[in-house]
Formats: sequence, C-alpha cells, structure tokens
Amino acid sequence: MRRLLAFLRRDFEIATAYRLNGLLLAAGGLFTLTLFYFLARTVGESPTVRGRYGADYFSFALVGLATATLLRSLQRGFGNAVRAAQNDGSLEPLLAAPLSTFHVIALMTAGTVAGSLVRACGLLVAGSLLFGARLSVHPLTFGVTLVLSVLAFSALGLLSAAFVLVFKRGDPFAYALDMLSYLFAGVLYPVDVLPDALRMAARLLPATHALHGLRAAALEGAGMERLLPTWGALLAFSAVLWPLAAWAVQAARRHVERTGTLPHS
Amino acid sequence: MPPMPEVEVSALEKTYPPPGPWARLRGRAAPSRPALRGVSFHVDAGEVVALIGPNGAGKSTLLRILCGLLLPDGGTARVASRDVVKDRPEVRRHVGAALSDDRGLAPRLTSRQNLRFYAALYDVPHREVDARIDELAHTLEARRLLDRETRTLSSGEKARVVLMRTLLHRPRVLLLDEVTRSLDPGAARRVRNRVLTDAASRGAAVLFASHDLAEVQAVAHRVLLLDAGRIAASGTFADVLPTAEAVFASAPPEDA
Repeated sequence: MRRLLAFLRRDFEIATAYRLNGLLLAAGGLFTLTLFYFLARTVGESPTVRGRYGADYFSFALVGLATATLLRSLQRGFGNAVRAAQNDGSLEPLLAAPLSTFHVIALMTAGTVAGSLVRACGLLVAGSLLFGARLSVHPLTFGVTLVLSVLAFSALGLLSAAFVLVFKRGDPFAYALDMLSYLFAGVLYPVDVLPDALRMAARLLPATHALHGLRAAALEGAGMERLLPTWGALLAFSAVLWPLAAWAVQAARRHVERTGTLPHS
Repeated sequence: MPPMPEVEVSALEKTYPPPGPWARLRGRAAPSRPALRGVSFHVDAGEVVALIGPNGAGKSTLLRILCGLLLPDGGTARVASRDVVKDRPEVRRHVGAALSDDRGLAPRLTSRQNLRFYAALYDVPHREVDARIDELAHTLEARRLLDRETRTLSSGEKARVVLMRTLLHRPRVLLLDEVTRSLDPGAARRVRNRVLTDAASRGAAVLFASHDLAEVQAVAHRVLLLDAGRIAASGTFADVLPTAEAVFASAPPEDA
C-alpha cells in the first residue's frame, strides 16, 4: 500500500507540475460534453436507445464516453507507462527495486488509471449536473461491473506492456482493439444497429460487455439478476487473459534480460 | 573468522545473442557477442574492489547481472548470500546500484521528492526518510540541491542525487559504474571518499567500475582487470598495473 501511494503521489506531483494540465483536461471534457449535448439534440429521440436502456441519446453517449475513457486508459496505459519509462530512463532503476516486474508495471500505471477514473466520474457528474443527463445508478451493480471491467482490461493492458517491453514501440494489437472497440462495442451507438455478423463479432470484445453492463447499471439501475450474464462474460475474459498476461510479462522480462535490451529506448 | 563474501561470482558466462530476423532483413547482421567468459571472483564485506578494463571488456554487463537486470548464460552469482537469478527481488533489496547513464530521476520533481519516492520502494522506515535524506545531502555536499527540480541540475549534480538514491536504503552491496565521472576532480575525490567511508562504516561491500586509475589506486583494496570478458589480472593495484598497462596499450581502436 505504501508503494502504491508513493507511485500515486509521484504521478500527482508530476501532473500538477504542469500548471495548465488540469485546466486543459477540464476544458477538453466540457468541450466533449457540449459537442455531444448538441449532437443529441440534433439526433433527437432514438427508439433503439430508448428501447434498450430507457434513456435519451445524450445520457447513453455520456456513459459510453466515460466508460471508454477509463477502459482506454487501462488498455493502453500500461504500455504507455512502460514506453514513457523507457524514454526517460526510469525503467531500469524501477526494475532494479525489490519488486516483481508485474508490480512495477501495475504501479507505474496506477496514476494514469486513477486520473482516468476521476475524469470518467467528472464527465458523469458534469454531464448530469450541467447538461441534464438522466442517470439512475444502482451503486452495487455499477461498482461490481466496474471492478470486473477494470480486471479484464488490466489484463489487456499488461499484454500491451509486455509487447512494449520487448519491441519498444506502441503495441499494434492494443491500437487495433481500441479502434475495434470504438467501432463495434457500442461506445457511441448501441450494438443493435450493427448488422448481425458484426453484432456477433462485437460479443467477442470485452468492451461490448463492459459498456452494456455499466450502461444498464447507470441508466436503468439494473439489478444483479439482469447483469449476471455480463459479469460472467467479463469474468470469462479475465480467466483467459490474466494467465496469458502474467506469462507474457514474465517472458518479456526474461527476453530483455537475456538480450540486454532492457535499458534501450 | 574470515569475512563473509557479499559478492560471489563463479564461472560467470554471458553472450549477447545476435539481432533478431527483422534486424537481419534490414542488413544489420551481427554475430552473437560474448561479454563474459568464465568470470570468478568475490568481494568481502567491508571490501572495496575496483573493476577496470577497456571499453567493451564486460564491466557494465557484470554489474547489471549482479543487480538483477541481466540474465547470465552460465555460472553462478550470489549477492548478499542470495542467487541473483533465483532470488532476484530479495537480492535487489540489498543492492544499491548506480549504473552508467543512470537517468532515473523524474525531471519535474525536486531531488527530495525523487528520493522520498525511492525510499518508499525500498521500504525505508517512514520516520527515517527525511533524516536519511538530510544526512546524505550533508555527506555528498548536496543540501542546496534537495529542493530544486532535477531538470535544473547539471549532470554532476544529478550524479550526486543518483548516489544519494543508491545509498538511501543502506545497501549491503554497492555497485557503482563510473558514477563520479561527471563531477569535477575535486568534488569527485571528496564524494568518492565520503561514499566509501559511509560504506566501510556499515561493513558494505563495494564493487565499482572506473577508467580513472588514480581513483582506483587511491581507494581500492583490490583490483580486477577485465579484458574481453575474462579476468586478466587481480590483486592489489601494484600487482595489476603492469598487465593493465599492457591491456590498455594493446586495446584496438574503436573503429578497428
């Protein structure tokens, strides 16, 4: 816990050292909300969205954007943190500390994920208070879905970090998955509007289940019974991805230690 | 009772593999590169041992293996009575390593903020952190650096902060790779003497790589001369000097 706090404190101190950082993030969030507010007014009532989640399009898009902000930071944050540490030379001293590779990578990303969680919550709160989004959150099912989503996406992030540890540049699979998620997982439109084949394919993306579960819990206050299949799917992703991620991180560390490429950027 | 060896290296081998197929396709073919060939030695508690040799002799490779950042291909290495491959996180707890080109300080944080961060990673007791930082800053003449962002420090000043980071958790084994080379000669001598005095007072073992033979003569109890991955000579500075002079004189030019 002390180490987690040390990483979070360090990342917070670095973030606040850039004075305009917070202001620009807040302005960017407000800009996005304004854009979608007027887009929603233009689109008007969507029977598909209303039928699926009982919500207007702005509220639907708001939860999608907040969720995508968090999941994207998990999916790409681990790899980005490793890449940043390779570039600024801090990776080697961090990996020389008495911690496992897994812990170092996870702790390096904690600040990014915490920041994204704050941004996602900020979007929901601002969207609700300033733009009139109608949320009906079931705290328990929302929390459980959030935890299961974070679990599944952390494994994806670790896989990406293992790739960056070895190949140094951005992980193309993470980028591809990110693009596919934006296109087919229902960030800005419900998957019901997709053709059958794509809708089936979308079920293979963890983002589809995370978005559905979080929307159902945040917009309709869905209870446990309704969300059990979503939780099962997210757990299944974790069950497959976590062993793979643990193996990949170990294999990547051994590779860079064998080839002597750990300090390379 | 003889002193306990804090570093024990036996028949250590390391060969860097050739580049992968993608590099070969781009015409960057290179053979595998042997870096260490059957290196054996030990460093006792309280002992200061210098590692000298021409560029590419294997000094940095050896230090990286000992601090658990590089895997050997053969032989064994034990640090603080633990195997550097099998017990790596535990080995790292007892090692203080300042490697060449160490850049591990966050530039937007002050030296003190950086040091507090590393103190937490090494489990330095919370109550002692600031006292240790102040004590090391006094020892290494770095008090005025503590509240400056590290991006504003010169390379010599950064080297002092890196040394403070290395010593903060009071390691049993110090591995130093030319850390004082960016300090001016007077400061290098004072800092070096104070680091070694601090290490000796705690009974820590010190293994340091250097190209500065005057430094080596002044502080090392023993000297290891590495040449092409092998120990070419070992002993006191006077014992090793004739072989070292011959090795340095015969070292091929970099572009040969």
